[in-house]
Amino acid sequence: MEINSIINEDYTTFQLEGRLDLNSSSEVKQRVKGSLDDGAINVILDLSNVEFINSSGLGTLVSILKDVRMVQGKLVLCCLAQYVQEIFEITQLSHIFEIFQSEEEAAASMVGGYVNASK
Amino acid sequence: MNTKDPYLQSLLEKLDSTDTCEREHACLHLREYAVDEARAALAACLEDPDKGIRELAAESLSSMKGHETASILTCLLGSEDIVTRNLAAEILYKIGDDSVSALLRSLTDSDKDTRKFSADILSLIGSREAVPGLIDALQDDSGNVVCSAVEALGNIADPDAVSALISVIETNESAKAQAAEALGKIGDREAFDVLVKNISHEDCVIRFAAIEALGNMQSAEAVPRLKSKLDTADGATRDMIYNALIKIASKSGRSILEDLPVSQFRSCLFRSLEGDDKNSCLFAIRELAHWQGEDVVSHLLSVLDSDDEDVRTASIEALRQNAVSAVNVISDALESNSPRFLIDVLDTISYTNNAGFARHVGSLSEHEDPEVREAAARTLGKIGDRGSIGILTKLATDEIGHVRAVALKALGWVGDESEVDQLILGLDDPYPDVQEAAMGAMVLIGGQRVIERFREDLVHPNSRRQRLAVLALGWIGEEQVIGPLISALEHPEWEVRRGAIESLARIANQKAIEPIEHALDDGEQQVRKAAVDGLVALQGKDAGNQIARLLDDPDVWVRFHVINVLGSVGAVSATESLVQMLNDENDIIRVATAKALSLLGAKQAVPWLRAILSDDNPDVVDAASKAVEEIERSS
Amino acid sequence: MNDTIRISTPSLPENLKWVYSISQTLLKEIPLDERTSHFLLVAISEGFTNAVVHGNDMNPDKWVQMTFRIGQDFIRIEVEDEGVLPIHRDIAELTELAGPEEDSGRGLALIKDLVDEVSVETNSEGGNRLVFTRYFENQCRTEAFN
Repeated sequence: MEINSIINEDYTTFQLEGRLDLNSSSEVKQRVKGSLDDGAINVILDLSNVEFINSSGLGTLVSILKDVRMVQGKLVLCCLAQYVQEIFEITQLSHIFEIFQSEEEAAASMVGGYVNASK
Repeated sequence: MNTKDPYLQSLLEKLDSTDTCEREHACLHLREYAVDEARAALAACLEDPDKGIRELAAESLSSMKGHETASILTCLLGSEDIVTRNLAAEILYKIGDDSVSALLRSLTDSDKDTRKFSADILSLIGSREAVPGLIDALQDDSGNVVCSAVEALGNIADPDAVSALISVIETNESAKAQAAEALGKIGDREAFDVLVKNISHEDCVIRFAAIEALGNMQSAEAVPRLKSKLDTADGATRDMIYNALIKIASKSGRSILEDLPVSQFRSCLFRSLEGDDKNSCLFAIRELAHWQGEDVVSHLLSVLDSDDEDVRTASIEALRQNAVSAVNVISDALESNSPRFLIDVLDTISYTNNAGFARHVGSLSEHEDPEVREAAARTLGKIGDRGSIGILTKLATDEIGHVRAVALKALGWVGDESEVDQLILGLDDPYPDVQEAAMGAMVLIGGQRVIERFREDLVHPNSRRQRLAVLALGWIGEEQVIGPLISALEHPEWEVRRGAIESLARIANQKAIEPIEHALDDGEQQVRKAAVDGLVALQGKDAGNQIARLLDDPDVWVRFHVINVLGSVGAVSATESLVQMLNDENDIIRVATAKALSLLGAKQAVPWLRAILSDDNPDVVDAASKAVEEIERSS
Repeated sequence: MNDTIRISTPSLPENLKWVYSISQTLLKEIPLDERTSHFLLVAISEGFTNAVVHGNDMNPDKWVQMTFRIGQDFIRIEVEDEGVLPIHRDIAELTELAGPEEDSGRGLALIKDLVDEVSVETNSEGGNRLVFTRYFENQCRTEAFN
């Protein structure tokens, strides 16, 4: 999986590309954890180029969410592809994560202006 | 997080809304704020009139965890509203170790109910950090608080509490029994003497607690003391002593019970079957497995309908060993109304090889539950009674398919050539399982008539009969079936041709090699694949050159199969042919080839593998690179 | 198409890519729409992952065997590992969806939601066999109604 990170003032965006499954999960978790350890505790995961997710990927996202909460940070997801969104709904995880349709909306939720996440 | 955060403020305001949805939304999202304001607001929601809000607030608080959350919640332990108190307690328990320091503070609260509640929650959390505070609480003015503290110390089971608990036994009559129980749970040797001292206590509650504690400690040292009380003790105390001895024996071994009179030992075991302690019950069952006799079998039957799967399994295994010693008891058990119980009893009868049960088992052939009828058929097959043929023949026409299938199988076990006609009828059953059971039974019975029947079925108008026939001939495996099977390689139905190959491979007669090799040219790809498997089954890796000619098969899955087989059987002779497949147009073929070459350790393939490291497909590149690495490492 | 394809592979996460390759090639030959194909691929990945992680404990010396059986109107996938099912667990318990805060435990539940039938049994070598089936006839019926 390709992971590209963009550091902003109030948050860090990780753009993931590829499949989020058993193979890629630990790499994603380590990258985000590294960011949290550096003090960048607000995270956007941009999944626009994630074509596939399974339970391993979901488990990793839940684990990341817990890590972010432990440091009192904030984690949001954005730009889920249709089938990926469906997997979240089937597993009822769409209630647990804040999910935005665009990176702009996700970014806005991190800074001052509070946009209600679409669930 | 900044508490002037407008979103936080708006959530706090929503909690005052009359709209339940708004309060729910607020409760759900306040959990993201790790600040006292949010915690306090959620704690207040535990008293909300709406149950859904209270539960959502409780969930949110549970997820927030932390010492600060626990501190706020302990204040609610003294609430007048019992629902609020209970919710607060539940959340504190869920928060777990982070609640301990707050709860220890509330162990010194002015309200005795709060102190008791705190001790109870600490008991459930089970943290050793609470032990010093709980030991202090043993001096509380309130007897209820002391008892809760004693119980908590027993549940936490920290040896540091032993001295304090011994002191309670010696000085506090009202908490003596609980203290004995707690010491039993901790199991520390230091408590031994004080417990032994109390096994003769005039108060039966304390006496029983002390005896039980010694049993829980599983202390072999206690055995002589306990046994010495058997003669003088009253009935209830004797029962307690037996239970304790069994618990000790389940750890120390049965030898500690051997000097007990047989009747007493057996009484111990029987009582343990009825007790609450699972380990003792299992110990007793396993012991009783070696005993014979009607009362033993009766007692084992009594635990056969336990809800605990381990107990049920153990009793089935035990009964398999001794059921034959109590034919009448077992037969009477077949009068039960419970289908599950009947099925278990039938299972135990299956292991007896005692045809004496057949009549009673046969009576279940008309049971309303098809699972029971099926179990009856299976049992009749296993206990091998020819006298059951009539019942099995009847069950072979049961309305339920799986009953018919088992009955036909059973006929195969107990029957002979006389049953072949009945079995042939089974070949035409609408259910495949029944057809296969009939086929299997005929194969078991064997004989010339069966062979002739299946030979004829090779040209039966029903294609399923043809397929069954070709399989059956393979299972029969005699020399005389090889000819018909080879002829079946020309059958118009591809499934029959495939079945013939599989059967010939199973018989493993070398005469089949050449005919199967011709099948490599079959028009149906599944037959070609079966021919590959057949040749490998007959010749191992020596089949490599023969099957390698299918590497240019037009069907990608045939090529795929051949490559995988060549790799897994170690057909090094096919390496040169395999290498060509690295240029196959299909990427899964190129990947499979790389993997096969790796398995073969084909050094000579390395240059070709390196050549595809620039393949367009990353999976191919990955496979080739790993193959090169593996080959170079192993050479 | 009417065929049986079998692959065996060591229990390594990286072999999931191989499973994807085979599966995608196979699924192209079956009349399924894109969405159904995608979710079937998810189910297949779950089966393999479950065998590697829970069945074989990520032990590369243990193998996973996958059998794809394609019939006229169904595809059936069998995933066998060398592990042992916990005692007293049945398919209902194993496919219960994990709670939202759990890191793992969703795989089998997800398979159950994505296919028509699923079962777990012990194979002849004492290992686990997970079998799940997707029928096409629903597919055709859906198309007809659309």
